[in-house]
Amino acid sequence: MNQNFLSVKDVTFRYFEQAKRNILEHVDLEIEKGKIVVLIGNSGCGKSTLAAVSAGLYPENAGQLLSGSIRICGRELSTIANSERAKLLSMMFQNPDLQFCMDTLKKEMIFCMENICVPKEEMDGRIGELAEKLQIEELLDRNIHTLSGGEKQKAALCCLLLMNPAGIFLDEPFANIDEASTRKLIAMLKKQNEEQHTTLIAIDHRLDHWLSAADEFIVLGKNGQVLQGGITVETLPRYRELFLQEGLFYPEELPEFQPPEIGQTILELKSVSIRKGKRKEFLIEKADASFEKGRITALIGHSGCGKTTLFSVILKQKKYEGTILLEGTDVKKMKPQKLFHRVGTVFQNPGNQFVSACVQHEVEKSLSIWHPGLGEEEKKERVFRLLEAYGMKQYRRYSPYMLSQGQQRRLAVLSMLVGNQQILLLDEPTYGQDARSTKAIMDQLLGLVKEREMTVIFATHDLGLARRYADRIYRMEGKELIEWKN
Amino acid sequence: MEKLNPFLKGVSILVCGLILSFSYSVLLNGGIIAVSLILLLFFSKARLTSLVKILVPAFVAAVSIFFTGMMFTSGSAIAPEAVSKVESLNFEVMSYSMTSVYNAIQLSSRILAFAGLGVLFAMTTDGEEFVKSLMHQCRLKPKYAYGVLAAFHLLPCIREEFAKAQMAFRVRGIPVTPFSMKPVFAMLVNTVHWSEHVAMAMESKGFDGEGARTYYTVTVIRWYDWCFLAVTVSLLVSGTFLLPF
Repeated sequence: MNQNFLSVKDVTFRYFEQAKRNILEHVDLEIEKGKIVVLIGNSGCGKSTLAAVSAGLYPENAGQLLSGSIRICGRELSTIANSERAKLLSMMFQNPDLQFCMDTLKKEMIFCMENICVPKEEMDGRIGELAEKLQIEELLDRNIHTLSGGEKQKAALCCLLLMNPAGIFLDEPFANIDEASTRKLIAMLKKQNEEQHTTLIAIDHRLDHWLSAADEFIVLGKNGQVLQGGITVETLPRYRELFLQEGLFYPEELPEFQPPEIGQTILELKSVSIRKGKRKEFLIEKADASFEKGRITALIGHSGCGKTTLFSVILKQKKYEGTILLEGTDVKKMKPQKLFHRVGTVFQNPGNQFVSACVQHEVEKSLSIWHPGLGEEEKKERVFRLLEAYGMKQYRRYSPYMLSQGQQRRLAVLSMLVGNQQILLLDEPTYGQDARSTKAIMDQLLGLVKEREMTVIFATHDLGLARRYADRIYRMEGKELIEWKN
Repeated sequence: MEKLNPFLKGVSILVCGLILSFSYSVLLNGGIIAVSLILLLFFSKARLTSLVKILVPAFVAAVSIFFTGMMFTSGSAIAPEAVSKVESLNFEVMSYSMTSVYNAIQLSSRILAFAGLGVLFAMTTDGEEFVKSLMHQCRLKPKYAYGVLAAFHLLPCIREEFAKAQMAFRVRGIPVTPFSMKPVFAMLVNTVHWSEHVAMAMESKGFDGEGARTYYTVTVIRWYDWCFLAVTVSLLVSGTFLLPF
């Protein structure tokens, strides 16, 4: 009998026929039945593609399979119909917003059961049973759009558990959610694995959450090649070198966090309160904080707690009560254009803020906004110098949308820099980035702080990141903003 | 009204609209407006505030058409010889303006009648129900039906994304008005990506555009749906022939 849940043999895959390189090159992978396996690799190594190919989503939706075969539970993948495939292998995705086609969890669950032809009479019973077991009764009838990121991922997982597939492929399921939700989801997954012997294959660029749950870790290299399989929690220390060499995140104890002495304040919040939308309820109540010049301050808190909203308040894009002082001047009395000249922002999705069709024009455009009197020649030269200094020169003719997420973010920071802003607000600067790219982005920021005495404030849900790079950490808890000290 | 089958209700109202576009009667228009309002106010759960919100623009359009019609009709409803035979200038002006006023009322009441029909359908029909009944009664493929539903439920996300894009531009120092196209473009790039993700998520949950599936709720056509169709259409047809003005 075949003991493998999934076996991928000699798979070669590319997105476009004319493309010069293959995303997956002769990949072989075997996953045992009933195990929890974590695939780790750099972003761009093709791990998400491997997941989509294994689950049969590619090449049906995009790309071409040039060679190889995939078998699930011993059956050739291409011979299995969609609805049946979902009972064998289902997939959970990274973005919590983009996994639902109905407006409430209950309707979504019904949609799932309709897909796999569950008789109508059984549906209510099955939903009730699962809801009781997982304690999600209160989520069932709420509009999915109003749930937090963690709750959405939980809802997505519940839909999959309801269909009770033999295996679940998870594509970076925790990339956008906070630690507490992550722990809960892992507990749910572990329980499912123990009770139903569901095979779980997870893709992640961090393995620290998985240490307690996983049976095996597999490190993937370029083009989806398996570099090292069969790593367990016990043998993990032996492969530390491999992790570092590949630029992967290796779980290690962080040194104790020691904030430096208090410096010169540049931005100050004095009992700032923000309301939720137009309602009366407070999102943040009476927050006090001071941000120091030439330092990096981190703002941590789970998704949806109001980090982004606080940024828009600092930028005068949302109403608030209380006072915000920028070098002693009340922000309320400043003209927006003047404020933006001093405070630059990079949003969570940098794709939102590009105005031009190529990288070079993008930076030039910023330059002409902030330095209107500059001559054409000088403008070009300055843009070139900047692009060169930040390693983006070879992409200058690319469309910003063609860059990877990490590159997009660096470009967004770059187009902020030409304005000589003193304060930089970054919303989730390492969202969906691997260790290497995270380091590149954060090192760029550290450099700026040193060279130009810039003040950086960044929001993140990752405490580890904050501890490694920030001088001071504020934590959003409930409606309060508290300074975090170990 | 909400209990009627959405598909058949849509068909009835569409047929009514078609017949109406071939008729030319103020009384008929008035009748349709009255009936739509009565159905909305007494036989449906439509909220008065949202009803007013929709009808106010329609009313403004009707008023403006009324004045356009009154000022700029050619007056051809009265034979030119008949007018020129009358020597009195006053009478000529009056007869002209009588026809113009009639024309104006005719045109503006027509707009309100169409608005009434549209609102009657829109406010008593749930989008999801409508798509479902298109699937069951009109044999729309599930692929399209659920595709539309998924897009429909993404709307709040898209709206949020648009607001974010607008803010991002403003903060970069680029002035943004509600009509700026750049944020729209940024938003569209995102939504194209999204559509692919959503499609993959649906497929991984076993969704198959054409294959067999079961249904939790099946919309059906009952006797009163046919009655609604028959009554509205026959009333309208007889109205076209019987009502003189």
